[in-house]
Amino acid sequence: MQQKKYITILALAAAAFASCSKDHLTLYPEGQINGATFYKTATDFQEAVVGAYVPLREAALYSFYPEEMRSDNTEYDYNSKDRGGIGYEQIADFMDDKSNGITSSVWTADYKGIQRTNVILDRLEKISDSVAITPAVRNQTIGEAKALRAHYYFELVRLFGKLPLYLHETTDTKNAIVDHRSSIDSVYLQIISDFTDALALLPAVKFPQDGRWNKGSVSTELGLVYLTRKEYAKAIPLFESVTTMGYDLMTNYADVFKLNNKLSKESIFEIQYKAGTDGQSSSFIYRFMMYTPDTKGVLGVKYSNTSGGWNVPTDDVVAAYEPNDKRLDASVAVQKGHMNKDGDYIPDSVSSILTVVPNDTTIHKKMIRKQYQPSQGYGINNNTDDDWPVYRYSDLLLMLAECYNMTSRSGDALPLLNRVRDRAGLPPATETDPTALADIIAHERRVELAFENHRWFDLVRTDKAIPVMKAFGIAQKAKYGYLLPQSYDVNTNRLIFAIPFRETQYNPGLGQNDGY
Amino acid sequence: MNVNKHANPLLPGLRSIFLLGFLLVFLSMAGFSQATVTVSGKVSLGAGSADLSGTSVQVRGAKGGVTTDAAGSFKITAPSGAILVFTHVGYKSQEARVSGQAEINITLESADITLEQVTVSYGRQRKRDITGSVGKVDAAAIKDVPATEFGQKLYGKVPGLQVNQATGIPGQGIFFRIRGAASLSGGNQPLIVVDGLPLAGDIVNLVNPEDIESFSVLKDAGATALYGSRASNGVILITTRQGKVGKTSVSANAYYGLQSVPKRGRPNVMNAHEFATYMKGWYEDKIAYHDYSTPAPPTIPVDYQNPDQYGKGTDWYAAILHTAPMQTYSVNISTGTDKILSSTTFSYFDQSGVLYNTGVRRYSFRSNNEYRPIDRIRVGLNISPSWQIDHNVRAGSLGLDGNRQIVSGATFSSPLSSVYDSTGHFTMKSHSAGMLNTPNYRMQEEIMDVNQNNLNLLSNAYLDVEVIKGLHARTTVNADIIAQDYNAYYGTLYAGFNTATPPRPLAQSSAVNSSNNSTNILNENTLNYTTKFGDHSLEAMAGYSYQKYSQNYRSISGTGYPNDAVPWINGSTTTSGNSNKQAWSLASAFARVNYDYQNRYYLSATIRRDGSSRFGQYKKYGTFPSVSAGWVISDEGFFPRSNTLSFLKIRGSYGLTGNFNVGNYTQATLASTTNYVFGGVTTLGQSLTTLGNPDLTWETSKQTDVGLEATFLNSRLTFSYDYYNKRTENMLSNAQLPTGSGFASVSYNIGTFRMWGHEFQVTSKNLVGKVSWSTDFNIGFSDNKVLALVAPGFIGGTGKYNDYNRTAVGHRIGELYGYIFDGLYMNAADFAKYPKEATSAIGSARMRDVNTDGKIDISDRTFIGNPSPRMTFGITNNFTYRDFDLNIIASGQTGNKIINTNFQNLQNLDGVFNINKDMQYRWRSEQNPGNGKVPRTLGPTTELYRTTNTNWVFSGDYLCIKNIALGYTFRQKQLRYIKSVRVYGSVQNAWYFTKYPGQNPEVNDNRDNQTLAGQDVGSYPVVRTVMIGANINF
Repeated sequence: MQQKKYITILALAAAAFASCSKDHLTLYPEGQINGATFYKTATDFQEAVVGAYVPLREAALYSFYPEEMRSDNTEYDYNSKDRGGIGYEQIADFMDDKSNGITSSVWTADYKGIQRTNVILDRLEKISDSVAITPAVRNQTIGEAKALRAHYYFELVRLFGKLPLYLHETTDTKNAIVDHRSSIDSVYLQIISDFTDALALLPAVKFPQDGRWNKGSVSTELGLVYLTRKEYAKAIPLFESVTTMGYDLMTNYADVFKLNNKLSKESIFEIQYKAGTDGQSSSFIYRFMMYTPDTKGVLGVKYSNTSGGWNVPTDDVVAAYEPNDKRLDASVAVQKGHMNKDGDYIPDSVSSILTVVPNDTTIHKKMIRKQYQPSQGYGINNNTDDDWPVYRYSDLLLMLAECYNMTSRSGDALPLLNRVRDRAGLPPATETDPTALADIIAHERRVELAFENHRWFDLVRTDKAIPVMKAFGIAQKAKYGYLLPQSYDVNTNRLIFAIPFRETQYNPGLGQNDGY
Repeated sequence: MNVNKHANPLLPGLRSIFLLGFLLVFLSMAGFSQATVTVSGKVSLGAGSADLSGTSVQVRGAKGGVTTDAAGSFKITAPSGAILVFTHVGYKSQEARVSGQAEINITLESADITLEQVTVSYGRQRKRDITGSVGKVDAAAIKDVPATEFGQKLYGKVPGLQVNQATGIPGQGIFFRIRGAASLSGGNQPLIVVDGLPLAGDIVNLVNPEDIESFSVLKDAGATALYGSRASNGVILITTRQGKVGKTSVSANAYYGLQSVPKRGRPNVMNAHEFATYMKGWYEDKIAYHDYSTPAPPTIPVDYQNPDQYGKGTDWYAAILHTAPMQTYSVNISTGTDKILSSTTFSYFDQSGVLYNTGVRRYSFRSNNEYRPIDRIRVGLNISPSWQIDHNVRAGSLGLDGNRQIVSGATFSSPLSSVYDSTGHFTMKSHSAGMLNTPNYRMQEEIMDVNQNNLNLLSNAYLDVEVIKGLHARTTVNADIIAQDYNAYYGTLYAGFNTATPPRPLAQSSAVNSSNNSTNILNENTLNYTTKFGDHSLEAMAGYSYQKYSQNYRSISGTGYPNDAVPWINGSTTTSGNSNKQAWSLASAFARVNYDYQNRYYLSATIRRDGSSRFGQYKKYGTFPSVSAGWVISDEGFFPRSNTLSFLKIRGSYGLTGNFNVGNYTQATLASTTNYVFGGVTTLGQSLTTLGNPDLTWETSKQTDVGLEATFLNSRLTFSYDYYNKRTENMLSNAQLPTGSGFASVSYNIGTFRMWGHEFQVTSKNLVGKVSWSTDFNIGFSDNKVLALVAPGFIGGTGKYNDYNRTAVGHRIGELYGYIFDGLYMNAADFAKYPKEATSAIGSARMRDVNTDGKIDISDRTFIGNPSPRMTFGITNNFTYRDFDLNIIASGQTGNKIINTNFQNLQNLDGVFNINKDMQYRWRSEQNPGNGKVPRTLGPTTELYRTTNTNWVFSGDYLCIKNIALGYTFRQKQLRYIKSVRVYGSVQNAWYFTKYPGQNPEVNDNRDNQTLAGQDVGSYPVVRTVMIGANINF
């Protein structure tokens, strides 16, 4: 009897256990939000939009290699010691291949951004409740998401050509693979469609700006998309609209990059950072100054900077500044230094490029000045406050000038061009021959926007990349003995980069760009 | 059941007080006279048995009795003329009449060893009755093997159990493979079960080796299926020391040893003269290779201008090492009556590392108690707290192991630099001109301040009620509670590879303080019924269990310190913190039926059903059945009865086992905080950062095992053989995704693999008698193949750097992957003839054009080695002569390849590291082409030579004399308080026979991830230990 009772109790206990076990087996992390239950409220979507801006920074950390150092504006300070940076060098020397880790980083960052916008757009579509999500929130959310998606694709298509078009949230291994690349035209159609939608949905720019996408920044980038496609007639009204939005040039070119002038009237779009310990800081100057075991001479604090020596202004770009161009001193600085006993370069001071005496025997190294702001103090390593400029009003003026010139309105182009030249302290241009003026505008863009990731794309879209870079390569090889004979083999294939190797391994349908 | 009825009546009353109990033993040994005759004596177990305890001595027909102590001695009171019965598991019983003699000495003859008891899943079985594949190791047989981790004791003991010491870091080196690597990144370690509690988390090394009585290694599905859900990598059952009825004993063990790094396998890098010569040439070549216009050509640094001024210089590898002591002291008190069984051990363990200023100390305590208040009820309470202090052996900002950490860094430090300056103080750096910054690693060892304290409370309680005869209801609660506390400080003198030479600014000093608490709680309830009717025996068992593991974690870090005197966050200027929690749970129901007919035909079936929180909503549950059978042919009438072949059993099993070693919550897509700045204000953002897989489910292995066991020549030779074939489906790992998807990988059931092998074990008593010699030999052969894998049919091997393995369909798991080095472009003719890479030049490295597309690029990498051994073996020889004993354990493996990834530094031609001696024979010009194997140093051409290639791959075959121990036992009758003393000396890791040029052929720096197997990334060296020890029985 007793044992029967015992068995009954056990059986009951087992039944009770079985019934409650399902709850015990459903565990979700308490330290993270579950994606299945997120994206319900307006706040959820607003937070998701914020997150979709973050990959802008991840791309910006690498974009200057393929977009500026690839061009004749910058080179690298050859470091025979730390060969870990050979991947960067190969981009500059046109020796990069499909295993290049830098272009792959840009690819990954941009697609991460695309995925985040896809999630927002897909999930928002499923919510019809106008109580949870008001039309205003919905428009703002879709507008920002589409502007970001278009922006990411625009960078990708210019770097890599044909692309896999991911337009929906990745939910499993099946839709994680878009197994073919769409034509460059289809990618552009998608970009234009997204920007056009964003333009309709987003508000006008308000000053002071907060730095989110708005009608001003979307019009500018969409205009550049058309300009890149040589559809000047479509670009002109967009650019013209921006001139009426309240943007203006700052009086002094050097002030544009000062920390207290972030999101100024001249700024149309910039990638934003904030120094400090909450993970929002930038670190550009560390890449741009030299590789050195002691940064004290540059930053005022000792630190072994092993990530520097990149994106160094070339002699070619310095020579491109006309005499008395105020922008040279604002854009390029010179470090003076010495070699220590170990053969390492130690910078002693930073000075103006205008004050360097020709027969000074100390070692001089050029450095970008736009992100060099000693006033911020460099107390925490790799932690700076500088934003990255994407579009400035002078850029817009020059693009509009270019459009006018290309549509036989050189007379309309000159005043725009001369506003930029005037600020730089240069006499106005008077050339009205469209071909000659095109060169003048291109030259103006080079120096006005130097080191802001425009030069390479400008060379490519104006079909100048091959002759300009071939000539530049010959000069470089004459100067630097370490360049291999096969470097600077600039040809059509080299106008875009290889699809990253890992990507083609896990998604064989992508194929590879010609020549890689 | 046997009770010391006639023993001193004071005993129960004093039992609880240790000292008095002690006294009592002495008193009883002194021989208080009783009414009846007191007989003492010694039971010898024949040759080869060091531990003579455990023989039961009973008066025939009476209740109670005693058992012998470790020296084999017993003392019993018996009526004159009574007959004493001596029984011992594994030996034939003997009887002797008490007839006035003061002493009875008996030698028991070994009997049918198949009757030995073995711990199996949820119970114990006679070896004879087991139908699965189980290896048993008694701790007594390996007591001389010094062990920080219990795994060190299992070397070469069980066929199919691969034990390797991946690194020499005290307390962290051992990893296991049962029957090869069954899983991928899902974890290959067998399930470790201590007294019924499956451990969770990284705490295996906290199990005190001194507490262990025996190990059972469960290999096939028939043996493991009751732990089915987590048993696909096999199970190691650990039984800790339990008290025994009728025996009170006190024993003490101690050893002291000195560890040092053998000369064999040390890095073969250049000395000062060679290096200065190389560097002088390097600069000469740089000037010659580069047609300098800008910048001006470099001059040869002063350091290298006159190489002849240098001799051997500093051997940095030797400089960071020293001879380090290790020691253990442990005391065990064990007693048992019919009401209480108790065994208590206290141990102290202290091991210094061979890297200066590293070490582990552990204080542990274990008390195992079983109470039997009434006949049918048993209540157990086992409790084992331990406190371990890890001093500088846990990962910090400057690691011991790993690429460009201390060991690797010292290897490539400049031999021109010195450890101390002329005033006897540490120098600050170890690089010379033109090299990448390296700190003085000897000094970095000295200032390291990374400590982790681990408090581990392993405990279990059970209640076992015999409801009716043969029916036991048992409920257990097991808990493992761990608190870890980690504190690290990096002051002004801290520096790592390629950082500024110290001192650095106070603003950069930093500290990390973190702690975590974890609980692993298991409740298990079983009903077990055994019965016999006629020739039939039946055991039926059913149960259910619930296990939950949870951990919460917090960490604070601070930077900026007033000075190095305050290493705590309290002194920092900037702090940041973080905390989180994670958990998993598992609910299971299981049942087993064991049936045998005439002790000859055996049949066993088990089933287990598990639900895990780690899997997707609809895929939580897995069912794991097994069936096994055995047949003792030698008991059949037709089988010729002989001593030549006295026992023959065949057995077979088939079953399913599982694995849920995948991260927590991987079924869910998760968001994390991704903030951004708008208008200078940090704004909260959230993004999906981890892709979940709601269809994720159990990894399942289907395993067939066929085995044979035989005993020959009067039980002097036993033999066993197993063949297994295991097919693992739904293998858990990460599926790699194109990053276009926004994610790089997702947890996934990625594929199907097959593993198979043969295992042999022979135990032989070669000599018995005055000189005895026994040999255990085992050998296992194994292989594996990937049968199916998620698209595109491989994972890994896509990166240019630090990506050394690829797992692909049709290949073995985790094969090494890289270029095939074919030499150099020796001259212009070669350069014209062979396919080239983007950076190739005459004199640069020539890799093979594997895909024959006429150029060399990353697509030309291929499979360059199998990291899994094809054969593992072990051999143990025991000798005894009089009171001497000698034990030699050897083990080894063959068939695997190792990739020494440290060669990316040691074959780096850029003049930034000290490098392998043979690098001096480099190509310098067509007239001076060196040995044709080492390329030129021209900057832009050197990269290809330092990416993964066949130059880095070596055979991992080795044979190691793991342990040699020579002991002598004093059985001093005149020392009345001490029963026996055994002293011994031993050498551990006495010698490696191997062609692997690195220090440790057992290296595997990503030990638990088979997709990254076979890597030597600059490992903490494995030591040779010479020690002396003593076992004392009171």
